[in-house]
Amino acid sequence: MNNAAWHDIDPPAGLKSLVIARVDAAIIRRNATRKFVGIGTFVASFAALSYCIVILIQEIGKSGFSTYASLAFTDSKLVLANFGQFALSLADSLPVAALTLALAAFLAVLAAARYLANSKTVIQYA
Amino acid sequence: MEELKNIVRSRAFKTTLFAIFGIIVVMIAFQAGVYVGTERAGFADRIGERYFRTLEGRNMGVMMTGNFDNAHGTAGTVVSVKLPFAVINDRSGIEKTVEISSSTAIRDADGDEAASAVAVGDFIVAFGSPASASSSDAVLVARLIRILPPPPAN
Repeated sequence: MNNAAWHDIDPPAGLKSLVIARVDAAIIRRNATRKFVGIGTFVASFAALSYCIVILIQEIGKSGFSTYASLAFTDSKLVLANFGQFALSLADSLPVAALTLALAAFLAVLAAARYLANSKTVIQYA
Repeated sequence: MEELKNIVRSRAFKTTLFAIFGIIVVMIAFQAGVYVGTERAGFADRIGERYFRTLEGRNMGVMMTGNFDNAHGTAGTVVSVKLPFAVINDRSGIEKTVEISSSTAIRDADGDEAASAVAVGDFIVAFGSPASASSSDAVLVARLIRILPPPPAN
């Protein structure tokens, strides 16, 4: 076949609308999946965050961190004068594991919110 | 809703996400350092105990737990006072000895107090530094002792 013959071939009727419809369907399916994953992640991370905050409050009470930290407000001048030792007493009592878990859950909530916000619901054509 | 979406999509929000992630990484590194330090201290103690057992033919009698308590502060109830030392029943259940030196500030709701104001049954919070390594006692040399009302029972 020569090049001129290719120009004479017409595509089947309705091919364009069929292709566009298939692309639309794929986009809708992708957006639906994205929304499902995003909402699921958001809800799960929010539940995890609530649980982690409860655990964190318990751990802070148990470790005495809040008691040491309150000295910064009641005896600020003395705390500043002995800041190194005060900082070490705080670092020693800080419930690092519980705080890390709570921060990680909070990060998951924010990341899921951003993921959801970025998901497109309207099909836009250039 | 649209405003919320704009906030979540903004650069500041993205920066916040990265900042939180950075803090998490730092805290994991800190916790890892604490874990490694605890393991090394425990191992050093076991070496010392084995050395003692070899030379003395008996155990040192020191029970080494994996959980090291706060070496720079204590919060709890005073169980014994024999100046310049006071024994505190810490919140973690461990009895700690606190040294009240000439540079220790003692305060309660009324202001500055003398060392004699610390009495058995008082709830105190203190911070300071451990006694020097050359000292054989595990004593907290207090910089500040604040006498507080007793906490509510849980």
